[in-house]
Amino acid sequence: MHNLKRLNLGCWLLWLSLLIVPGHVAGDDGLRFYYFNPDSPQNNLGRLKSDMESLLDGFDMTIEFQPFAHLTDFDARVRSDRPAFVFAPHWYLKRNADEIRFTPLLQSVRQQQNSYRKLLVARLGEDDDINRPERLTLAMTSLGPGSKLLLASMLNPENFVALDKLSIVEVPKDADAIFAAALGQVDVALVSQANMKLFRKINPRLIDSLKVISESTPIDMPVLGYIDGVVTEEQAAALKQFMISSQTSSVMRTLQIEGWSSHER
Amino acid sequence: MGLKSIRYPAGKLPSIRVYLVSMNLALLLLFMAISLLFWQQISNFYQSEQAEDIVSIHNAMQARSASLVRSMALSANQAITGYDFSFLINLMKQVTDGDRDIQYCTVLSNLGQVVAHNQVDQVGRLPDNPIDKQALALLDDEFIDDQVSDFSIQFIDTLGTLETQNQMMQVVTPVFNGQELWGILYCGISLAGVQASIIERTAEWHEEINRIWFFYISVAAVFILFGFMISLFVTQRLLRAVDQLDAGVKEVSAGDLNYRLSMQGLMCAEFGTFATSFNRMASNLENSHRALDGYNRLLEYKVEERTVELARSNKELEAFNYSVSHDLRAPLRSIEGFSQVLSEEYHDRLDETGLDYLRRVRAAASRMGVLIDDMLRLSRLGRQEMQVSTVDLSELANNTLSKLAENEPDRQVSFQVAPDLMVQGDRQLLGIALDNLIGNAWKYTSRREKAEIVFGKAVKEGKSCYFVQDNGAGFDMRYADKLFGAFQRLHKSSDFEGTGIGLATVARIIHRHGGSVWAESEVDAGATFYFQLP
Repeated sequence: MHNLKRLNLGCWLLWLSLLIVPGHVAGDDGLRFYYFNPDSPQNNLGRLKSDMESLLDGFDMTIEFQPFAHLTDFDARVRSDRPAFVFAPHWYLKRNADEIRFTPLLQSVRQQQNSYRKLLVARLGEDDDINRPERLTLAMTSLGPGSKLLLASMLNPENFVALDKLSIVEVPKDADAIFAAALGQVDVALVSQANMKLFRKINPRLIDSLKVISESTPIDMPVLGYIDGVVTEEQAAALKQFMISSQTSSVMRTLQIEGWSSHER
Repeated sequence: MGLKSIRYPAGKLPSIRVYLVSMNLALLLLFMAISLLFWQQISNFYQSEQAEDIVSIHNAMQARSASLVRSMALSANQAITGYDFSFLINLMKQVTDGDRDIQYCTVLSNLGQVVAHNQVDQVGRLPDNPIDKQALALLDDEFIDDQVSDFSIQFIDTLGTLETQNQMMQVVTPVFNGQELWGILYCGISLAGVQASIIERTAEWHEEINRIWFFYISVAAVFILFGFMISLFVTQRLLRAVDQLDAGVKEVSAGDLNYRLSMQGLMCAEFGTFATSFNRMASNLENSHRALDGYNRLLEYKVEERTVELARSNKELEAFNYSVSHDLRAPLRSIEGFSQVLSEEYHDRLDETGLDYLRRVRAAASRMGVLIDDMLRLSRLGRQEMQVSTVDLSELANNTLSKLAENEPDRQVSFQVAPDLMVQGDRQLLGIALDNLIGNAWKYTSRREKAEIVFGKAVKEGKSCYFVQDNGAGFDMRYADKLFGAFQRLHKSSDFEGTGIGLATVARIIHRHGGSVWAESEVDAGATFYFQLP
């Protein structure tokens, strides 16, 4: 009876340790590949994880692929888990590369461009005119701290309203910003051109209810890189080569990109 | 009870076969009725169980759907609060893709717009179908006071949902943005799966019922077959035993007192007891009969002995009568002869008184001669051989009446004789009998100015008889028993002549024919003499 209680306590402790140190066990077995791309038209992270894992099964090393929907989660886990590979927005890496010892390997390419633009859209009123209340709410994917400044660099304020009157609502995905604007949850949204195009195909009703106010300056496409000290350069090079060789695979459609280009920091 | 049963003739009572067959039929019908009742109860039980099963399946579907929709509502709350519409849409898509029973999932905002749907092209549309409007109405009607933790669920079910494959069940739950009621989430659950389960379960029930029915029919058939065979066997044995008893009883009742009922095949103790008692009764009866036979034989012997003695006595008596009568004739002829000589040759020597005495002697002698003749005739009747032939009584009666009328042509007598009264008998003796009867009628109507004599045929106490009727002096019925005795007279000789032998002669002749004779009369109202012949 005494031994049984001891065994039971041991099990509880083991379970607690798993809760407190997430990914600890998985990290021991292989390398981690963290993904965060809120502007991607691909919203189905489950399918993304599944496809990527299938793809990475063909790689020489065991890699655990983990997509993130929220910047805060992604950022926290990158810092705590120190994954081997990271696929993240360019602005994130630009801001945190030194801190996390990030080294870029490849930049994603879409429509033969390694940059994309975001559109500022607003919901049309009943008279097809844009509602412009004094205090606007704007939905957009997170740009991390200093979103307004970054937003300011992306938009031409003359075409719209003063940024100080904006209330920014951070949405997990770019598509959520479209939904938020189209469904009247916010006044304006900053969304990628690709998502607008995609939604025009799958739900023109939503897009028809929106009007483009302005267009951002080009934004660099997300970047794939590795964390120094977690993998060797050879391993990173091997992954890079593997990803380049996989440009024709179906996973590229899942990633909603067309290919890779070399990226120098 | 025994006396009562005697009142009913045995032939009118139903046979024991009727009772046994009726009993078997009644048992069969009873069994079938009970079977029917039993089957009805089984069917009712199965129907109620099946109904419970169906309700259970439906309830399970509701519970599962409610649980799923609640979970989705929790996710929807989170997603809406965090503007994570794509997650919500993906969730709905995955849920509907993963569960074929869930046809669609929708989140309607309180602004009346589809904000999430498993089909992304549906997002943004306005409620445009009755189900959307019905679900949206619940927002104000049912969920308006709900809190986040309430997890209310409403079902929109159309009538007859369980009857068609394409019916849907909408499971509706409120969606909150933080603590604020923000909209509703509802999923359309196809009841095709439920219906398929119900159909499958119903088929299983039917199969089960059919199996039980087949089992029951088989058992019942075997039971009825064996029951019928046992019943037939027992009935046949019983009937055979009853027939055996019946045959024995009839045999004994027909007179065969030696017959005894066999104890074999009687089947039951009661029949055995009956047979034993009956055999004992037959033995007693046989003993009694044997004793009675002994008595009868003894009696017959004694009767025969007495008859022989009587015949001998009669013969002796007749011989005595004859000899007496015959022997009396000789002295009587002397008396008559010498009294005649005295009357003729000494007529003048006797005075009137002597002549009167002489006349009286001669009259007495003459009467004695008549008496002796009658006695002789009567005694001859007993000894005379009968010559039986067909005799026409009507003819004999007419002859007698004709002779009487010729002898006394002055009398006014009307007579009536029924024609063709034919009998079997001795013509001579029957003639003597009719002579006496009609002669009596003629004699006792002599004082009537208009005498009437009738000879005919009548029916008395169901028997055919012949009668001679007159309207003469008649007689007192108190002395009727002396009427047919020899030398018995109910009237004075001075009123009506006679020896008293006539009716005795009639009685002896009729008795010799095996018949009977009797008379009915009233003083001064005539008399009727009846005689009956076999």
